[in-house]
Amino acid sequence: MKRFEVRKDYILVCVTVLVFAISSAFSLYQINRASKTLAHEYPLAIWTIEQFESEHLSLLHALELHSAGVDNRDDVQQAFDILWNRVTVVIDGYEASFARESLGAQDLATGVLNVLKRYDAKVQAMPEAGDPGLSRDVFTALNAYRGPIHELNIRNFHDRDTVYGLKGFSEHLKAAGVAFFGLVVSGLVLVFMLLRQFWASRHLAHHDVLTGLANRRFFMEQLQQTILRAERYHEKFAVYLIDLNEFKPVNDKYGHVFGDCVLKVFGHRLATSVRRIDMAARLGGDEFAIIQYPISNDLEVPALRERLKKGLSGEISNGNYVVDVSHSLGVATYPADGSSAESLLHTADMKMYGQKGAHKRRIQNVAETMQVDS
Amino acid sequence: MKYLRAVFRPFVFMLLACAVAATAQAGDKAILSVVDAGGTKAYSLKELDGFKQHVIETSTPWTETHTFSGPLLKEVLLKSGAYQGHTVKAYALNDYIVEINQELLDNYPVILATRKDGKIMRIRDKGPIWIMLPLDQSPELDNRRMHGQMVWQLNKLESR
Repeated sequence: MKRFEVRKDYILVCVTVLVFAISSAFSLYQINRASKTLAHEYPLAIWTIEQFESEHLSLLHALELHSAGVDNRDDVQQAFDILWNRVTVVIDGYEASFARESLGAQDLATGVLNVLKRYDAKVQAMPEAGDPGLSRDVFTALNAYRGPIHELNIRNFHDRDTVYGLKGFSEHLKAAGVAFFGLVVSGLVLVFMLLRQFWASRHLAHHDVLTGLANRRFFMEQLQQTILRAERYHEKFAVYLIDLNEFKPVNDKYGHVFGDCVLKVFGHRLATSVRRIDMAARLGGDEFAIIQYPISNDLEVPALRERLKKGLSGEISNGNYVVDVSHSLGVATYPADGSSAESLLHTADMKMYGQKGAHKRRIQNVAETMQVDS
Repeated sequence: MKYLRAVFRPFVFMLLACAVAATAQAGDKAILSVVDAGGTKAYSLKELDGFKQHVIETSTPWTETHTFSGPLLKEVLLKSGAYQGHTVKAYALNDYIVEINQELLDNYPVILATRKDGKIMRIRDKGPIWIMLPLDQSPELDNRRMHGQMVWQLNKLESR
């Protein structure tokens, strides 16, 4: 059952990571592609083609004025050159690549450039005023492109879905949205699993696997903390060390499985015998401990001792074997018996071994009495 | 033969004089105006040539690698008393307008290119002034936003 759950976890992690990776890559690719087109290529292309039309119209306007007798030769020559530059951008520039591929901007711009080249020498030598024939000729030649350039400009805007693939991009963005949803869900699952693992690891690092009580490391940390707190607030507390009597023979006689069962039940009894604010721990083997914090009067220690005597004693059975457990206990109080963790544990240890010695002597006496009686 | 020379000599001199005058006139014509709160200062090509000339050899999105030369934009603004505030607005003959952050001018040798490969640039070749950035030398500038700052056919700078 456990093995199946572990395998299920592995499959879940693998699937989630896979979904996360694919969703991330796909979303990034689509969003990057769409944003590149929308942020750079499309606005630049719109600008370039619009400028193409407006600069073409500016030259036509200047030529019209010149042919009407206005002294604007410099304006004509400037507009002529500005359009020339724009035409080369439309023919070669990266800005107009979409319009060249899809709207035939290349042919149109080349046609305009040919007109400009044809009249270049004459325009450069144009008199300030007085040659309306020339400006009319250039106007007529260029005016033929007015409609097609305007149509190019309009189509560049209206046909943007096909020319720039924007329709495709909106679909890509929708797909990116779905991928993004996968990204969020898989990300949340991963975060949840990570948190669950974190708490499990944290619990494992602080607790004894068999009994679920605090382990020695956590107990020592808490003891140090309790000393600091008690010192600061001038409080008292007690440390109890508890050892199961005659536990080794149980292990030897009934085996470790039953031994573990005894420890587990004993640990449970210990946990339910103390207050919620007290700490119960298994220090190792059959050695347990309690921090009773705080204690407000001297009667609290004997009261807990009595509660433990009742709560921890009694038979423990697994259905096959039965043992009657008893324990030895030593208590040290802060600050009467010591002000450091070492001194408190040493005192509690001495007292516990004193009680254990008494217990052993009692057993021996009983055995000897039985021998004498038989 | 002598007679012919005597007849044509005055014409040759006249033609030469006209050419020199035309060149001088072209060089003297204001091609850039710098506007700030204090007024407008106009610069001819000859005056721009009077600044220390800087060279940038770079390719651009619109050209192969060429050598562009001209004064530093920052120096022209400083000389005009227009190097104040945070941005300078650049206007082009084709009505293009862009704001240039002065931080850019502090960190990079941005020039007002008046020549490409030593030759004056015509309007059709993006002249007479093209704001040039050292794209090849500083690749971090080689992006669409900066390309938009490379104003060609520049004719006015405004700092207010």
